Amino acid sequence: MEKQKKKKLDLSGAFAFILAILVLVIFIPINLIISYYDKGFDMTPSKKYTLDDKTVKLINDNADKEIELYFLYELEDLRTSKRNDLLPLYHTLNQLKEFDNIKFTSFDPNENATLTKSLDPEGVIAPEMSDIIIRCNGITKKVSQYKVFQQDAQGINEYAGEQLIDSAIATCVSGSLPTVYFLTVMVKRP
Amino acid sequence: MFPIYKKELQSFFYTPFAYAMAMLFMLLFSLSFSTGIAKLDNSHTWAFSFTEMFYSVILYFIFLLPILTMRTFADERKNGTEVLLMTSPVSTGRIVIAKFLANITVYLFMLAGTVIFPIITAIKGEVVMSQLICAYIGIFFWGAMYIALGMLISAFTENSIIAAIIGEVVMFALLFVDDFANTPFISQYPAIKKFLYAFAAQPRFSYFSEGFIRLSDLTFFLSAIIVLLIWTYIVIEKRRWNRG
Repeated sequence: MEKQKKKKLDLSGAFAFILAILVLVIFIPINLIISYYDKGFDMTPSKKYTLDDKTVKLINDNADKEIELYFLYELEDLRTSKRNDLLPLYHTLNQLKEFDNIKFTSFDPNENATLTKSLDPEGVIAPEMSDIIIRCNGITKKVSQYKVFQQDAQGINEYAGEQLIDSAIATCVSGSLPTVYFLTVMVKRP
Repeated sequence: MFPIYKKELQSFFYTPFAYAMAMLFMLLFSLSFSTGIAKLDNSHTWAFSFTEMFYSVILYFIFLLPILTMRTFADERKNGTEVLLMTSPVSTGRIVIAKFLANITVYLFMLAGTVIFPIITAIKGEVVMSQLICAYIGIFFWGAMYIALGMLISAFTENSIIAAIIGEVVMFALLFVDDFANTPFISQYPAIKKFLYAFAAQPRFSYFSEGFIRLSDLTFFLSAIIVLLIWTYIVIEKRRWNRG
């Protein structure tokens, strides 16, 4: 009988409480470590949580150029926002900032007016809250927050943030802004 | 362990309990489904999100899951069958796991009934299957965590009604941890906000419902289930030692 008792843990009194706390304490670092080396499985049809190969190639091909990426909103606030549709944007920006040639800055424009002003000294692009500004080779491009979600042919809102950032980066690294020609046709009556 | 699991299942399925729960769950789910259809506009495209439906269902969870788990240990104490269970050759750990698995089986039975809604949608239109499967995985883990929590609360008391009420209060509080963390007052203290946010299940479910499975979210739910089951084990084992 005594042998059997020895095998069991004495869970009376304070020991039970300590053991309960200990169990919790063991699992907290496990969660922290896994969060640090997190891995995601993107099951969405458009793979909106994973950077497109085209974007990765574009950034890697321009590894010698420093691309400045400004997000005029606190990135962490995007994650904790109740709007689930903003999560793809959070993941796009989070993956972009991992690149060595991308200098990522996220800030609240209301709290850092000097930086906001420095992004547009001539008042051309007029940056607003939640906009994304990309700067490289002396060219500045803005991705407006209003364009991050676009309606598809069926009228359903789709995330278009990555494509817009991708094309803005492509324009900036090319070093030249696209030229838009306006053609005026005059028709003379006989 | 299997006889206890079988006995628990019988207590659910040989009585109208499991069927009533499943019916109530389906009724609530169909309410969300019909609301989703009613909200559709007059355009040619009819689109609604199952994700939103799952969100409404989670609110119903808080009322249904404590009812499912309230009897797990509380009734054993009330009916005096706890002594029989404690003196049985099966270890406490196995008793806890058997009861947990029985509750999970009923829960899966409840969830299985809801599959009819995506099937109806698929017959009449198109369903994004990968996203739907992820949402089901998410709701399963969230429910399993709440079942483990309900079992722990049930282990503390001998009155099943009190266990259900406490369960509902605790689950309700847990559901809104992230909202509380986002309040302007808590937002003043980023460290506290981050700490509270780490315990919030709703943002983790958001990823599942959006079709993105993260290892950290799976670990969170599994850890929470394991911790709560171990705590239940400690509570039962402590009572056994106190009895002598």
